[in-house]
Amino acid sequence: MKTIRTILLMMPVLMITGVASAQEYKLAVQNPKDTRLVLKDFSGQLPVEGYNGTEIVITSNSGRFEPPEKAKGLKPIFPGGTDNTGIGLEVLKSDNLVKITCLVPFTQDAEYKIKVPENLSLEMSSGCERSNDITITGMKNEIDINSCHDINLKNISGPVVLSTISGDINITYSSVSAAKATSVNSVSGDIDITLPVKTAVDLELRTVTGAFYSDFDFSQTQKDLKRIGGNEMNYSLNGGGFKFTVGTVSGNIYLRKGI
Amino acid sequence: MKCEEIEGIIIDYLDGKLDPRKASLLEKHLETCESCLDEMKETQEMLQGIKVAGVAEPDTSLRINFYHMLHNEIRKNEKMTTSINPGFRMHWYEKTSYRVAAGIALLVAGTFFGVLFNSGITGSVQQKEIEGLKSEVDILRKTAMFTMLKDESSSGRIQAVRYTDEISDPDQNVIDALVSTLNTDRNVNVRMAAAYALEKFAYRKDVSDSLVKSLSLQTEPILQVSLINILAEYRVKSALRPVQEIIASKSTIKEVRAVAQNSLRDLI
Repeated sequence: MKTIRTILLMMPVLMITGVASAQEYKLAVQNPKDTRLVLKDFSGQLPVEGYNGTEIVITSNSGRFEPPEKAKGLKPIFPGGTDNTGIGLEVLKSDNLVKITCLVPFTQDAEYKIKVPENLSLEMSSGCERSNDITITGMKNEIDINSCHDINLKNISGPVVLSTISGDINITYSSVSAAKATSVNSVSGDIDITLPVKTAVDLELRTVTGAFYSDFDFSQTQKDLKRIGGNEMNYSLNGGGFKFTVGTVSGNIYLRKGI
Repeated sequence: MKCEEIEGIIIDYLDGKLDPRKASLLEKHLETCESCLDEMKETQEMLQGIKVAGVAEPDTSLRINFYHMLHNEIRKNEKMTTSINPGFRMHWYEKTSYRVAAGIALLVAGTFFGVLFNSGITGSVQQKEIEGLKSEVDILRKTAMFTMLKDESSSGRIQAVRYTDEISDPDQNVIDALVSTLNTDRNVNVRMAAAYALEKFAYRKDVSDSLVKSLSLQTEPILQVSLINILAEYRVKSALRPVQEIIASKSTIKEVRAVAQNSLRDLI
């Protein structure tokens, strides 16, 4: 009986610890539209979600940033910078730039979830040993990623500049609002793009040993330029518009009709 | 024609841009006026100096300015749906490049004379002028920096590079800026865009040389593949050595090695 009572009494304490283990860091952004968020050296799965708000909210899923008892009065020291968030991240902010660097060594797990204002522009880069598959949803401004693994973009509408080595790239546009140059490259991965059916775009597709598949109507195609050891194709859809370059070495390119 | 008039048109004359009627008037005047002839010779020397200096890697400010100009031009283009006559296209660029070049030349000359005057005759006036020039250059630099901050966007820089699609016969400054972008831009997609922009001019020896040089600098696989394909297509034999080096290198990934090996038949 006594044990049960102790457990019951302890319950709220346990729950509080449970909540505390998912730590949160918030940063207000005055003018998201003109702000560039740079995420550097994150490892592990990193979902980034755009939402209609003005705060960057980072949730750390590992509770290990609580310093141990012995560390009382001491500060955690990381090789890459100073942790000013309490969750293993360094945040630097200037007028139009927010730079968040993950300080946790890539040999240790650190899982983060990031919610950001949907209309800021996003830049991500990590060394090959660090980066994992990246999934970004609901962003409306520019996305600029340099990675070695898969890149998944869902329900986006802004210009995109992506480069990966051995990963697939999947992009689903909700609409194409900004008619700015877009460039997507992978070495050995497939590239799969779903474009709204009425998008006015000048497509430039290059592949060396891969193939190109689409349900768009290319019956009135332009000339097909033969390149040594590969192909370069130029097409305009719906009269042509913004420049969209897609390139792979050994992967295929899939272009699908969206809504 | 008066001496004051000559001063204003001398640069255009030296660049062969003056209309023939004015040019012949100027030539007639030069036959009789020694001071103007001297003036012309000096200007010629200065332009020559700028050209020689310009062959070197363009410094960042020039590149920034290039983007700045392209950016503005794109904006203008977006506003004007009607076609712009080609003469105008080249004009804006050259004019601004002259401003930059003249600024640099003045700064160099100013500093030179400043040192000269300071060593013997004191020249507080010159000193002031030099200070003024320096601050002007600083302002220029600052403006350029702000522009660059705006063009932090890789997409914007790709757009800037793609603008050269419209220029059929680019001058050396455009080529230099593209080469510099190909070799120094921090984003691989922007560097790729520069490579394909240069591809159109790969028949020019200076351009193909730059592409060959760049091939040994690039470490990104996708960029190596692009450059090898371009050089193989134009059968640029001097690319053979860097291509062989890529094949031999341990850090080369298999996709790149396959492309490199495949290109050998066009390069040997």
